[in-house]
Amino acid sequence: MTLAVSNLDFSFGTQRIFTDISFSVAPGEILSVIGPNGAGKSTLLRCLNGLLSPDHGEITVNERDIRSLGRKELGRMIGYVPQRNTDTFGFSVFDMVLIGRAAHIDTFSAPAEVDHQAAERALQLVGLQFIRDKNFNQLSGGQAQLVAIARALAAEPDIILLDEPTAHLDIYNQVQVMRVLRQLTDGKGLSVIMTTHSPDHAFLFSSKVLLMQPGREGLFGPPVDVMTPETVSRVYGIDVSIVRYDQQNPACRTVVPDWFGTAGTQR
Amino acid sequence: MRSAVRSDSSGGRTALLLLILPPVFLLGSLCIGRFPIMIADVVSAIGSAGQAVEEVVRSVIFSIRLPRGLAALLVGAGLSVSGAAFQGIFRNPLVGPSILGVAQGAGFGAALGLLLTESILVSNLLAFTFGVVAVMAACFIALRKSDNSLLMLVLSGIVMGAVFAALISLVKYVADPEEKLPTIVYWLMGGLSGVGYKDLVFAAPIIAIGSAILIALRWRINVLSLGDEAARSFGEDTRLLRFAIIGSATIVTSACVALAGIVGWVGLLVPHIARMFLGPNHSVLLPASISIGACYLLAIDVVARTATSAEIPLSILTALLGAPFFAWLLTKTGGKWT
Repeated sequence: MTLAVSNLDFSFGTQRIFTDISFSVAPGEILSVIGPNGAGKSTLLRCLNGLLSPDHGEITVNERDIRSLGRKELGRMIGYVPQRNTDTFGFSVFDMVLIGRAAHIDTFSAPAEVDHQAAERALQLVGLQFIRDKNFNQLSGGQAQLVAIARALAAEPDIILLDEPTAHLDIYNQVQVMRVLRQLTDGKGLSVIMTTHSPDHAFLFSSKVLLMQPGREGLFGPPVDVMTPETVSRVYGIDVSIVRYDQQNPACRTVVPDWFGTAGTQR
Repeated sequence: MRSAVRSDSSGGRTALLLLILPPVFLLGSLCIGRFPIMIADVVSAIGSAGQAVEEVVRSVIFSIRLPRGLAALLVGAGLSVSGAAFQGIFRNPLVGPSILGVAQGAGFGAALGLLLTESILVSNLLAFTFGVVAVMAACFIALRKSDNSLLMLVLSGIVMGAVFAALISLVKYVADPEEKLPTIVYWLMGGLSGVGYKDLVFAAPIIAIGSAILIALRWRINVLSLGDEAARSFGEDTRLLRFAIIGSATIVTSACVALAGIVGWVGLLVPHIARMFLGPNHSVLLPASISIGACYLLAIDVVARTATSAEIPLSILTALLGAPFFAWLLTKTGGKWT
C-alpha cells in the first residue's frame, strides 16, 4: 500500500507544530523522519494513523482518505509502535503480542486460533518465540522494543509506524531492530515510517528521508539529497560536516558537528 | 503457576475447580449456623425440594440460609468482577469498584430511603439509582474536557464520592437518633441479615446481566489496560468501550450495595488473589474473580452470622480480615504478582 501525505499542517490550539509536510511511501520502502526535538515528528506519526487530526492537508492510503476509514480498518492497515511501552500488569509476551490482533477480533469475542497463529508468526518474525511466556515487564529494552514491533505485526498491517524505535538501545539492539525492519520491507513488502534522532541510520537504512524544519516546509527525498551539510546545519542551528566513512558504499555517511569550526564537507 | 493456565489440560482443571467451588461453598454454608444441619439432610432437602425433611429444617434452609447464601455469592461475585474490570481499565491495581463514587452514591440513596420511608424496596431502589447517578455525574464532569479523560474520570469520581459522603452525613445528622439513625448506620456498615427472595429478584438479574457484559468484554480489558493511545492504534473505539465497561460495573456495584450495604475491600482484594494464582490476563482474571469473590464473601458472611450471638456487620469483617490478609500477601510476595 502506498501512503501519501500532502500539505499537512498541525497545531495544538494556537501553537503551530508543523507546516506543509508532503511525502509518500511505497511498499518496501523505509522512510526516516528526522528533525530537532519539538519539530513534530511524533505528532506527525499520530496523524498518520488517525490518533490526531491535522488542521489542513490530506493523508491517503492507496488513494483513500484515512478520514473515510474506520478505527478498526486503520488498525488492520497501519501498525503502530509507540515510543514508550507501558504495561501495568505484567502480561506474558505472548498475551502482549496477541493484543495487537484487536482490530481483527469482534468486540464481544476472544482471540481465536487464527489470532494465536498470527501472534506466533509475528513473534517468529522478530526472532523471540523462545521468550513467549516471559513477563513483559522483565524484558530488556531491546527485547521489549522487538516485542512491541511483533505486537504491531500481529495485526498483519501493510504499513508500520515506529516512534524512535532505536532510542535508548545499545548498538547491538539498534542493529537488531533495524535488521528486523529491513527484513519486513525487503521480504514482505511492508512500508515502514520511523522517527529517529540518528542521521547515520537514516543514511544507512532508509529509502527516503523527511527532514522536518521548525516553521518551514518539510524536506523530502533520498537521504543523500535531503541531508546536506547546508540543510542539516540550518535545521539544527549548528555547523556540521557530513563525512563518508566507506568510499565503496555511498550510504555510509555520518553527521559530525564542527567542534573546532572547520566546516567543510567531503562528499 | 502462570503456566498452569496455558497448558490446556491443567487450564481445564482450573476452570472446573472455579466452577465447582461456589456451589460447594453454598452447600457448606447451608449446614453451618446456630441450628446445625447435617450435610446429608441438606442434600436430601434440596433433592426433594424440602419434602423429605422436617418442617424446621426446611424452613431454616429455604427461608433463611439459601436466600442469604445466594445473596452473598452474588454480591461477592459482583463486587469482585467490577473491581477486576476497574483495575484493568484504570490501569491501576489499587482501585476498587467504588473509585467513581458509586458506593457513596448508593449509600446516600439507601440512607435517604430509610429516612423518608419504611419500605426496604424503596431504599433499595433509591440506593441503586443514586449509585448510578453518582457515576453518571462523574462521567459527565470528565467528558467536559476530553483529553486525558482517565485522570479526569478518577478525579471527578473522587469529587462525587466526597459530595455523596457529605450528603450521607447530612441525612444522618437530620435523622431521628432514637429510631432512624441506628437503622441507617447499621445499613451502611453492610450486612445480609433478613435478605429474602424478593430482594434477590430485584438485584440478581442486574448483577447477572452486568457481569455477563463484563465477561463478554474481558479480553478487551487487556487492550484498554495498555492505555488510550495504544488501544486506539490497535483499532479500538476506546471511549465507547470504556463507558460500556464503566456502565456495566456501575449497575453491578449499585445492585450489590442495594442488596448488602457498603461492603469494602472485596472488590480490591479478590482480583489480587486471582491475579496471584492465575496471572494478569483479564480473559482468565474476570471469571476467576467471580468464583473466588463469591466464595470469599460467602465465607465472610457465615462468620458474620455465626461468630457471635449478634450479627457482625460485613464491612467490619471484610476489612478486619481482608486488610491484614492483603498486608500478609504483600509482604510475602513484595507485590510481585501484579
